[in-house]
Amino acid sequence: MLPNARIGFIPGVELEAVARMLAPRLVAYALARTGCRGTAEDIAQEALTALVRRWRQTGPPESPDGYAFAIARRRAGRAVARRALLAPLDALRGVARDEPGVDQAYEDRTELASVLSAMRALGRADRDALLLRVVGELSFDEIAHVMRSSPAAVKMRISRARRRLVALLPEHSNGRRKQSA
Amino acid sequence: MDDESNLHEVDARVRAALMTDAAVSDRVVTRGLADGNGRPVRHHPYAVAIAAALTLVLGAGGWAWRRAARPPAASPSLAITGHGSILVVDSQDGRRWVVGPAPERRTGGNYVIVVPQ
Repeated sequence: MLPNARIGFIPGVELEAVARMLAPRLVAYALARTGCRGTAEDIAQEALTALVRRWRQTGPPESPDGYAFAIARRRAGRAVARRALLAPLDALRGVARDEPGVDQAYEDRTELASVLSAMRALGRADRDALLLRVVGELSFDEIAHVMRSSPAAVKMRISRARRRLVALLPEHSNGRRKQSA
Repeated sequence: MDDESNLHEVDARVRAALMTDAAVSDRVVTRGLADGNGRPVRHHPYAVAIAAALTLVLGAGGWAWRRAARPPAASPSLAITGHGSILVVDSQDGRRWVVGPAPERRTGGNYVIVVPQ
C-alpha cells in the first residue's frame, strides 16, 4: 500500500497542503527536464491543476504525488519534443529561445547549469528515475508506477545514475566537494 | 563510506541547484487551486458524430432544396401514330411532324419546250 493512500474524506485544507508540498518539487523536476524556468512553471501548474481537478471531482488519487508527477513527466516529455522539433525553425526564423540571453549567460556559470549539463549526459530513463527520487521525493514503488517499471529496476537505475552523476559533476564552485573520480 | 557520502552529496547538490523560488511555488499553487475549480473544457464524446450527422443532414437538405427549386425540365410529350408508311408525330404544343419515305424521283421523259419568240 502506498503511503498516500486514500483514507475516507479528505478536506480541502489537506488538498491545499498537498499542493503546497508538491509545487516546488514539480517545478524543480520540470526545470531539470526542460532546462527552462518558464516552461517548468507551466508544466508544474498544469500537473497541479489536473490533480486539484481530479481531487475535487472524484476524490484524491491513490497517490497524489505519483499522479501529479506522472502528468508532469508526460508534459515535460512533450515540451522537450516540441522544442526539439521547433528549434531548427526558430533558428531559421531568428526567433529567440525561451531562455533570455543575459540570464542564460549568468546561469551558465552557476551550479544549475553544471547540474543540468551533467544530467543531460545520463540516459533518459536513468535521469528520470533519479529526478523523481531526488527532486520528486517519490518512493521506489511510486516511481515504478509512474515509469511503468518494476521497483527493482528503478532502484538499479537510480543507483547507476547517482554514480554516473558523481563522476560527471565538476568540482563544486565553493570547494566543498572533492574532485570525483 | 566516502563513496556513500559522495552519493548523498550529489542528491543534495541536485536539490540545491534546482531549488525553486518561494514566489514561483506560491504562484503555481494559487493558480493550480484556482484553475482546478472550473470544470475541464472537454469535447463532448459524441461531438464528432454529431457534427458529421449535422453536416449530412444539412447537405441532404440543401441538395433537396436545390432540386425542388430547379424548374422542371421540359418533358416533350409526343403522340406517334402511323398511317401506312407514314409516321405522324403530334406534339402537345400543336406542332406536327410527318415522317415518310422520300418521294420517288420523277423519271426523265422526252419533252419539247416551246418558247414563243
